[in-house]
Amino acid sequence: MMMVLPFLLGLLAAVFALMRQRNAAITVALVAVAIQIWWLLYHATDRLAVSL
Amino acid sequence: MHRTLDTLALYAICAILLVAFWYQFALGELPCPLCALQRIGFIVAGAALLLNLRVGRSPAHYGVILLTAIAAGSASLRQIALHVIPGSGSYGSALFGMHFYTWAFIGYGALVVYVGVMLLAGGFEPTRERMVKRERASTVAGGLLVAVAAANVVAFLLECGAGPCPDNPVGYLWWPGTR
Repeated sequence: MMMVLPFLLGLLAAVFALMRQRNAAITVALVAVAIQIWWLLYHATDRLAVSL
Repeated sequence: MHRTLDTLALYAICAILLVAFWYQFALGELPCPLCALQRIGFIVAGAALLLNLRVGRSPAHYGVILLTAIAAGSASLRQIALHVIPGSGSYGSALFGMHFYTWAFIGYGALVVYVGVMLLAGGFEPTRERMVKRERASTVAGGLLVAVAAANVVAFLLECGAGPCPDNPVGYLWWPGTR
């Protein structure tokens, strides 16, 4: 998956918001958040030197 | 009053993204994948604030800000945890004594507090009256956010190409001569 994809979705959400397309903006923003979380899990591979 | 605060918050988010851009292009500090996730959070939060300005305030818009603040704040907390042990190094340079991931965590904490205060303050317009008149302030702030978000799309396309970003980027994948 492209790292740029959530940026693209963030941009789309901002454009929709500017155009007053509320439902489209919220939908795209939520998809961006979901991909954001997916990328976080993808990159969070190093073991942390902390006791959790 | 609410609109003014939302406008100021949106400008603050644009300022944060512009400072990150300055460090990237003027000072040559390439953002890492976790840094990218922190930037995305600010862009999505900015879009939700812009919705408040363009179609009227709604708890749903603040809900989007909360979700992205928690997701991106987790990325910054993860990066803080990677470097929390003294001597374990850091990523990028510091600003006023703290690194950008620490500032991002503070920023997302501030956003969560802001959302809480704005939700408590109430004053949400009825659905019928959500459509507000076009105002120059929201157009300018929204235009700035769209421009900064578009610049980030281009910047990360240049840096990472059509795949995931490297953990420790050393140059721009799609910008010849920078690797």
